[in-house]
Amino acid sequence: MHAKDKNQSRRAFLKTSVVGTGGLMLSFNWLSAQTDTWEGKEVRALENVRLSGHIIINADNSVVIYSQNPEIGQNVKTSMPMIIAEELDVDWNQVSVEQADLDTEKFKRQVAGGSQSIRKSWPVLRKAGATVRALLISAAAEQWGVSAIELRTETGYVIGKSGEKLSYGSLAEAAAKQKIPKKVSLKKAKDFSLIGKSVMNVASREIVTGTAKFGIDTQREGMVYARLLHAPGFGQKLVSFDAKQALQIKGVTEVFEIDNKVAIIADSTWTAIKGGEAIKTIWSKPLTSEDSKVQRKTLLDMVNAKGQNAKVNMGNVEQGFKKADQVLERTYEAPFLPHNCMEPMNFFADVTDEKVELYGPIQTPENQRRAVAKLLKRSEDEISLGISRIGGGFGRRLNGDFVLEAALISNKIRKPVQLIYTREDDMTAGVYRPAVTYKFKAGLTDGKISAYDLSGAGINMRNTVRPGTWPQASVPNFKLESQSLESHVTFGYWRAPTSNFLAFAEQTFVDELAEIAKKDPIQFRLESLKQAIDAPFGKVRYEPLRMIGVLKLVAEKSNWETKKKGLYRGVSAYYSHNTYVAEVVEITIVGGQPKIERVVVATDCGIVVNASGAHNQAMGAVVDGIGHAMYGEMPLENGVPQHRNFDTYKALRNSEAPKVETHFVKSQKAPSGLGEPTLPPAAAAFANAMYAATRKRLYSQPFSEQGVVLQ
Amino acid sequence: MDLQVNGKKYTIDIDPQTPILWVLRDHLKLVGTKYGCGIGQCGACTIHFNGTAVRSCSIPVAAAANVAITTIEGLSEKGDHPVQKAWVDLDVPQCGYCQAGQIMTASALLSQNNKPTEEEIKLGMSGNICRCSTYTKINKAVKQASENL
Amino acid sequence: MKLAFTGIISFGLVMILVLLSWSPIEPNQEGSKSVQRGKKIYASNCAVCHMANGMGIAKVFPPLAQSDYLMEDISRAGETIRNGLKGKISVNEASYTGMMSGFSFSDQELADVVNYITNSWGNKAEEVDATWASKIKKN
Repeated sequence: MHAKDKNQSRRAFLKTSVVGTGGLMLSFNWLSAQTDTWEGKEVRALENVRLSGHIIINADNSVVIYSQNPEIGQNVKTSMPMIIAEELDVDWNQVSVEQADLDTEKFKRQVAGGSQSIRKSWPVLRKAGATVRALLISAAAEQWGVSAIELRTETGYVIGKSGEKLSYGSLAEAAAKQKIPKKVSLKKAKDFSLIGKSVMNVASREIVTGTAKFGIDTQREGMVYARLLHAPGFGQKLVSFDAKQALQIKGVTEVFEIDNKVAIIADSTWTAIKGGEAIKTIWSKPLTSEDSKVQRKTLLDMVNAKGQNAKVNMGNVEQGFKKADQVLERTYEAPFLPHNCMEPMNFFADVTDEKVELYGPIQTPENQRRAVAKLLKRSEDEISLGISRIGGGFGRRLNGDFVLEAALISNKIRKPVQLIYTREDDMTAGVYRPAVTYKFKAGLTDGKISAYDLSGAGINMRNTVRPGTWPQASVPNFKLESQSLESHVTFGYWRAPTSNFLAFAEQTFVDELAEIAKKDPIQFRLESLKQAIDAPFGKVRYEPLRMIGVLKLVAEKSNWETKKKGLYRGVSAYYSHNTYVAEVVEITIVGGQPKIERVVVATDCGIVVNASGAHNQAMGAVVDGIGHAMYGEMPLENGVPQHRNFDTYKALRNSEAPKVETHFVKSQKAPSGLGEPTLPPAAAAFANAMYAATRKRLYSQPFSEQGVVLQ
Repeated sequence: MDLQVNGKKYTIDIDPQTPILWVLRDHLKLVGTKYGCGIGQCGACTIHFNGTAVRSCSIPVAAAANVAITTIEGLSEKGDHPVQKAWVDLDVPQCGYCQAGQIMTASALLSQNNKPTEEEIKLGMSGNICRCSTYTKINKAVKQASENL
Repeated sequence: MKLAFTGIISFGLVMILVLLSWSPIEPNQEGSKSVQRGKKIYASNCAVCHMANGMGIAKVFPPLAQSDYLMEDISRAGETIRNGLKGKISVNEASYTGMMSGFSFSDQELADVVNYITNSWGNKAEEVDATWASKIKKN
């Protein structure tokens, strides 16, 4: 059974290659090639050989590498091809990168989510590069009539014993006919020549000249624009609508109800926007159960209730609290957060009898194709999905609600449809970071945590807690409880889901414990981590040594031991998405308010693939975290979102952005991700610094509602 | 009416109240200028009006008669304006969506003040939102561009 | 006699010293700080349309510099900043049909930016404070 499968895949591989040989249109040197814009996608016409799903080698020795995952700003479009190029052993200057469409035959896990792109694709991409390299060596060996063992490669050339050279380009056709080796050897980390360097974003030039196209920029012949009016409040149903005025607007062609929304079809974006504004809608009554004040009270009642669903229950926390020297109990509350990607939601769909074409910004293309197939009762074979560049994901576009909407509309009117959301549509559409409340209770004995009970309750949250993470293995009596409050408010994965607020609550709570124990906050954490190494309670599901490593690094880089008058510091440490982070925020006080002087971030994500990209992600997530902790909230009044645009919804601005210094632990471990991990600890480090300066604690977000004003 | 965009003349027949942003994007197919909010609060739609940075989402096209409009596509012929070069050199963009607006604001800022202090840069750029939070790199790039004007 | 004369001279000297040390009333310290803060707020939020020199853009964004529309009703200015403005207005005998969105400033911030625009570019007005701003309601 297994042997047969292997042969099948091998044959399929070769089949792809042979079809690829000379199978594409014109021949011109791609380095100076004009890019043809065809139906919204850029197609480079090449004379080439496709040697694997990811790699095309041209006769002139230039290489095209396909980037398989959606690009949302995490720059996997550069770092993932870098991994391939490293093992393939080509000169990066000869590489151009193309965004791959959804293609489950060629690629696995085309998902941008969970900060897992690099981590999950690391072995796959390395193998792809190494395998093609092996085919090229094999082809050269054949041509020279020597053994492959005698040969080596160097930046795009196979080199013989006596220094004779053959370019990859000249070998490509022959390479496609070689037998695919059972095993390939991968480079040793110390031999990396590309990985670990700072490599410029492959899309930089397009971005700065305005030629980089996002989903919202899609334009096709015969395309119409669609806009959807959704209920003003969650849980409300459409009763009726009056489109008379809207249909009088030149360019508005149709208005109809679809899936509890009103769709406006128009000939341009502006007309669609204006059309929507001209429609009178009547909805059912707003629901008081969806009011933020009501939900807040319910969540508080839930965390205070006894005997709830325990996800983890070790030892006996009640006994532990009775015996403890000191007991501390604190409650933390977080509001809903919209994602506010700078590119509002949009998607293109063209449904015809023959096929379904989908195109646009989505983090989960495979799931969406499946969902559209189910929704329209079509076969997945009939559906193609192209992934555009994405103006921010942050988890919003893990949900494909707008993909289904576009498909549904196009299916109904049988025209190519570009669905667009205005900022107001987007900000009020839901798919929010859920509102969540935590109650922490901990007992200290001899300055160590001897009992720990965390109870979380969140809106539509399957799990508000994170079993297995610190301090679980460091505490003998340990309980995690979680409850979900059902609501019509739709749930969204927001950058570092669950962790994005839990880390703030946990790491500020821990600081209070350290103070009671009369220990330095870093020292307190180090001792607790050491407990998990020396005498853990139960299984340890993370690596305490790596957490100790980043705490020590951040202490060193922030000069933690050296006190400076007027400079106040706060620390936090958190493990999420397989990456370890410790942060120190330094503030001064100006007119009674904090000015963030700098944030020092120490990260252990294993091998860093692109040094510049890594800094960008680590820095960006920190500032994003602090900005949202300061200002972010979406209060609902009887289910109606109270912010619709940036006039009232405050975003962190340039003048408030703190300087961030990033440091990475030198590691040989396989890489883990960076899109999210430095966000969770940021707000806590800031709040802990605030306490050092003002002796005031923060127990809820946004901080601006507690009177904090960034200087 | 006639429009002058990036040195080229266009003749359009559109409701004069249509914001310039949508004329550029939907009718002239110049999609480098982006939509972020529609109310002048995010800066993604920034273009130059006779060299001054303005929010194209908040200006009706009627006001653009006899005005030289420059969009990101026309900021330089070869993408080599000092601001663009600094942006690439310092690896500023992340998702890239807000960056055209940032660059248009920065280039206008520098044309009015060729030696801005860090404070002046921060303030001058504060009208442009970046969710990816590339702010500190943006400021570095503006500073570097000012040194290479 | 001599004593009285000395007394008069001393008194006179004291008076002269008092007169010399008399300085014109300083602008309220809180106010000028407010204007400085307002300048920062203006630069980040308003300058992009009304321009750093307060001159606006012809036919689109009205000037604030020596603007009759602004200076004749400061409360209205506060309301406009807080709530935005749509529709036709006349400023210095020119017509503007634009769209301005409101800003979510705190009361102090609103007072600061109002103080800045009403005391710059040749404009002069009495300064307002956060209490005044708290009475300007958001629609």
